[in-house]
Amino acid sequence: MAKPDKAALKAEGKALGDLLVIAKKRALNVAILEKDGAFVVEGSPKGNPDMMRRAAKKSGGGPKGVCGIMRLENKIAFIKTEDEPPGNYPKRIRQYFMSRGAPIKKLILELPGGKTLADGEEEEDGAPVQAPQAPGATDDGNGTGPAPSSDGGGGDGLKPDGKTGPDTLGPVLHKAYGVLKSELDEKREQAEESLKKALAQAELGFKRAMDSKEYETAKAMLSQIKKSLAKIQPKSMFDSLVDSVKENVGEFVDELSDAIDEKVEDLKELGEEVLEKAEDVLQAVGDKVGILSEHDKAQKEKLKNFDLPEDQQLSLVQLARDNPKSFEAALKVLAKMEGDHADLVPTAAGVEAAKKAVDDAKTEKAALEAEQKAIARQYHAAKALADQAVTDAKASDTQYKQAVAAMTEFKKNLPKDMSKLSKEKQLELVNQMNALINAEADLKAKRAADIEKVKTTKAAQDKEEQDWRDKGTEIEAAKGKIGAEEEKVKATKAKKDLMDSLTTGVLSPDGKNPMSDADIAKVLGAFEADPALGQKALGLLEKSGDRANLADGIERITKGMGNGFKDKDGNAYGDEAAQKQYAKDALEMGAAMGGDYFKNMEKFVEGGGLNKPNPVPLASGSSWKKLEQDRAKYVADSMLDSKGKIDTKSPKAQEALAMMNFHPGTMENKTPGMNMHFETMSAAMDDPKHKQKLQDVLDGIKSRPTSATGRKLVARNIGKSPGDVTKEDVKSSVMSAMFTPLDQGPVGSCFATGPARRVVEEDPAKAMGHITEIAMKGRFTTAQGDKIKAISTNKLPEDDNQLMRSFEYTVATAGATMANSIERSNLNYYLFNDPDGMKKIKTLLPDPAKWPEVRGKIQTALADGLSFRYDATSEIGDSNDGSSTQGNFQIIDKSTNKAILTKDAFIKTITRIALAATGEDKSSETGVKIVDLCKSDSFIDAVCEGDYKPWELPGGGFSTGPSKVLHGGDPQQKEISATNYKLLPNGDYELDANKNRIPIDAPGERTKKVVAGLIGKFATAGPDSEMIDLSTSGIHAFGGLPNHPSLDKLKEGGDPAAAIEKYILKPGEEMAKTDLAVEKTGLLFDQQLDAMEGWDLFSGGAALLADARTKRPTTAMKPSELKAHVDAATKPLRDYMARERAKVWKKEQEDAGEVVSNGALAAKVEEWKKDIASWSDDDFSNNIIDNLEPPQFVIADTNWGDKDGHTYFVVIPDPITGEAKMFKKTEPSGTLEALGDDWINTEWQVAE
Amino acid sequence: MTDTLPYVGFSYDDDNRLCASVGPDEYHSVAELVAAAPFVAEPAHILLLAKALNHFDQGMSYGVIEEIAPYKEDFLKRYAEEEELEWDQFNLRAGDFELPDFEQMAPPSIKDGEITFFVNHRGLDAPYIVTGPADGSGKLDYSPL
Repeated sequence: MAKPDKAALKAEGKALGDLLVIAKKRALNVAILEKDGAFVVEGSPKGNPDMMRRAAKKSGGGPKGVCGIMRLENKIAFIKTEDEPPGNYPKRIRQYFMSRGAPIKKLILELPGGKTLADGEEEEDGAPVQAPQAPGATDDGNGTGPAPSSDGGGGDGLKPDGKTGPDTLGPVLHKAYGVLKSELDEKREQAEESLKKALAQAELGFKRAMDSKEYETAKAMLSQIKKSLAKIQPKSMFDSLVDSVKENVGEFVDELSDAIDEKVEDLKELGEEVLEKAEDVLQAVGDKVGILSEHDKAQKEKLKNFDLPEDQQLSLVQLARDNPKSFEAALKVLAKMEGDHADLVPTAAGVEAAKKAVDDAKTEKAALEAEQKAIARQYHAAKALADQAVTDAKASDTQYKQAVAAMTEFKKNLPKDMSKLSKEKQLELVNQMNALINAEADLKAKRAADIEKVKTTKAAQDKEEQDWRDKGTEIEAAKGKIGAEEEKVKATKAKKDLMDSLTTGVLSPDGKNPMSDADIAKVLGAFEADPALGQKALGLLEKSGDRANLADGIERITKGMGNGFKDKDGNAYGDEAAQKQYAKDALEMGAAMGGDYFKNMEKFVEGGGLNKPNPVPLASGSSWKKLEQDRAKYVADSMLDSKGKIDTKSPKAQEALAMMNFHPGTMENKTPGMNMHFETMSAAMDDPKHKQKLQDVLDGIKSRPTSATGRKLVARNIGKSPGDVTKEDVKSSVMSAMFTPLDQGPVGSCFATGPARRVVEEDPAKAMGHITEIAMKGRFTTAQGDKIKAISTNKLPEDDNQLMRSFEYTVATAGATMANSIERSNLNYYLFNDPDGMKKIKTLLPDPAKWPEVRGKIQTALADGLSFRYDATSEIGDSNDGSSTQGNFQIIDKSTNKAILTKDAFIKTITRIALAATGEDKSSETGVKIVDLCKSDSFIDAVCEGDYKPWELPGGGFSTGPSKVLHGGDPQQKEISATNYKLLPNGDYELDANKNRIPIDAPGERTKKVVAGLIGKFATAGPDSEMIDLSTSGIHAFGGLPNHPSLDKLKEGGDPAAAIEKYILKPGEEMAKTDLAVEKTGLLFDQQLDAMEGWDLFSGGAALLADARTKRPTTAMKPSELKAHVDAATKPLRDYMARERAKVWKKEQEDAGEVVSNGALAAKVEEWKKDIASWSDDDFSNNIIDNLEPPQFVIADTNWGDKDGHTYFVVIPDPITGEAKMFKKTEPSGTLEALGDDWINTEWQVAE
Repeated sequence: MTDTLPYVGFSYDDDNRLCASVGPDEYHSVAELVAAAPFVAEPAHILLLAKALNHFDQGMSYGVIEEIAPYKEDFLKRYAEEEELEWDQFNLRAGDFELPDFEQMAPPSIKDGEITFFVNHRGLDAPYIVTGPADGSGKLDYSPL
């Protein structure tokens, strides 16, 4: 019997699944006929069963089988048939469906005369087969149905009687608690002590009951709270209660009626007047939710088949009231989703149940594989027996043939006349012959037996082989099931994302910037077209600053996908899968690029761009950096015409930008960060302010490079040999450098990158001039006129743009050279300035007239014998504020190549140089005087004027060098915010027991001070100032953005502290003290754990993650409470990950021959715990900030970036603490990463 | 004859001004020096002239290369040691650049009133070619080799 292959099984499973989808919705004509021990199935809602029978026969079906009309209810298949098939048919057919990954829980054949025939455990248990059971009460326990929910009820939280179950009562009670909470907080202090205590006990009881899901107890506690509250100030409480009920009533469900009744009872006690008010409240409640209006009920009725929990249904009813267009769009999406995958419960539990089904399917497959392995062993054993039998049979055959040959030989040798032999001899021969005959007969029999054994063992072997193959078929079916279940997980997640977004997320009215009804409908349209596209849209909308524009783009893309992205001639792009992929890619790019991206994309599509060959370089076989360079060159070349003129508007240039932005081939390797730079740079090149100056620079390139350095740099950029580089190559290379984002290189210099970025931003022609000089002359000329050779290719990352990176490194080198030169001059000055310094030697010379000669020799010896090196790691005192700063120059004695770091070392070196210059020996009369002078206090005092010490040169100076060589002037580092670390009287940092510096202000207060300092500084910058040079001492130099539009508010009134209070701290405080609704806490919890799911969880992490998911919040919480809840829920997982990562580290160390002590391992675990906690914190911040949308203030450009985007420093009110917090934010992705405390606490400086 | 010449020193004087000295006398420009010590401008002492021009143009930032061969040998040795090191903004190295064109290097020379000589950039420890008016009447051009 031929076994279907994997693909055939998959196709079969899909076809069956499709039929089940139809059968769920309408009557399906079906024929299920036997074929090769399995079945062939044909079905269609059109025609009749006989037509299906004929079709099934055409497909190879036999005469036996079932034909009829099929319907599917709650996964139970019913087939009404006129046939009377064998009793095992329901089970066999169901197993057949199941084996193809098309699950049905039970199959019931409805036979003529009202009889039924069913499979399943009920039948085995002897239970009668009934009509379909109520939803949520049908799990037959055979493991094929949906996983039961945690409360033991149906997956949608409904009890068999249709009333709301505990899963929804929890949120209801919480809302009721929320109603009372503000009143409670307000009046608590007014209560008498006994009442206060009662309230506290009741509140505690309520929270505990909620935590343990004892909802009846919680309800009683809530009632107690209300009663106690009423006793404080009945009337005021009542008014508040009325208001709060009115406010919250829209979200209540029917079951709240009981609670409302209780309220009314309470209120009745307060008198007639109050009772009237209570009746008003009831009326309002009744109108809205207590008793849904007829219209509401009608809307709710439309949702009944979508497996939505009660609270989600009510949220959608609310949506129907507020946004009818969105509601209708949501209905369509849900119907589409239901059609694709039935019975998806869009809750966290639903997703987990779907995942469990995948795990179960995998377990099933693993068991089958284990069985197959066992069968394989049996097969090999059987084969060994069969092989042995063949060997034995061959041996028997040989022996038998030898016996026959022996007989033949014996007969041949018999005398012709036996009678002539003696009697004895005759008898002997007869005996011999008999023996031979007997032997032959025995061997013949043995051979026959052995042959028989061959047959039996071979049959056993064949059986095992067949079993093995059968098991393989089952495994393939199991694989199909896994695939189907995985698809269900995706579909469930998509449905959950949709419902989350509608009930509490970006599509809900909860956010600060709720979307319009029309825009929401556009997003839902994307969901209807492709849930994956809808999910992508939701993620992008959360981070988007222009949701209306993005919604417009979503609509355009959905429309495009709907018609196959056809061009104006009707040519579609690719197949459906390609269209879906393009839709997602374009949406992502459009969200990143903003502006008119989507409109231009439509033009590109209409113009047939999608089906044009892709001229944009791809990444095949090369690095991302190489891809960046190839693309920069592609765009740069498109901007140059044949005469070397820049034309950013030419058709060629416009097509290049379009290909970069819209072509599907380009999007296979998206580079949004680069694309944005392309747009910015092409706009700058078209700006009248820069256009002619840029052209002038380019026109100045009149020959091939005149330097070897320039030729090599250009050659490596364009992939030529240096000897072949032309003038045009130089222009192309310079242009491609301009189109390469200037981000800090891998071993680059932040000191240089910041000022260099500033040049590119403020004066691109000047930047182009520097780059051209490097390309042509292989050098960089500083603002002071000094020429510094350009850093060569052998020191540059190979795949980077060589000119751009050489520019960065050379500016850094030029800056360092300048700083070095200043230090050299300083040393000379301090040594010779004071009469008691080196000048004193003049008085020691036998002939003072020789002093000018001696002085010259000393100074030359100092210049040739000493060098200067910057040590970025050293810590030295800061004369300005007594604190320590990081990094200073050190003098190197070239004779020893050692740094002069002590007074003694300085004296030794200076003495040696002075003696050599005077030609004196240390023991000569004059020599002794010189030695004495150099070590004298008066000499040292003379040299160490002010704070100057040659062995401890002042800090700073280095970082401003690049700015000086690029922009001129003499900028100095000035403090914006002094260090936040406690200092000892001697200027050293005070350290705690763990040798850590001790901050003065807490992070929030410190951040506020730093931001106030920055805003104060920014306010003094001119309106055209793009950047100012900032640094965090000892950490990083970067570009402040004084005129970033987001900072306008903080500059209001010229009082940064007041503005920070108003625009950062107040919103932060409001967020921090406000309870997040239970839907929101649940969503944020899910998002946190979803993010963790993407981490490397090692072998045991998945189970811990699943366990953490069971701790999904069931109550409203403040952000800080939710954060604590998330941390507690994920701690076991995070600790486990830390241990596993430390183990990996230990193994790496040991593999490298290192010994790792237990203490070191424990320390590594702690290190990982901190790192993992910071990842988790960042995930939480990203999610809660995306959800609550606090204002964001962009303060600086970090210099960091890549093809994907660029990173900025931003300040955001932290919803957890309510305080100001600094983050690194990468655009366009919008991802946030908290800035470490060391950044905040160090001294913040500006170079000016 | 050079051993009979007075020693010419180059330094910052006691008032921190650039100066040249011959014996106890100090001069504060090339012209002053040449006027007082005409031998400095003689072709035989062109190295001395180069030193004077360099000193009054750039102070102690550059040192005139007096002997090319040992300078080249020392440079190439350092270059070989540094060539493979990663670029580091805090450690300036000759090996960060393309190898200089030593073929250009020659003893100081004067042509049409323009002097050419070679100096070592003391910060970078790398050779530069210097050109300019030999009489000290204008700025010199320092270009990396």
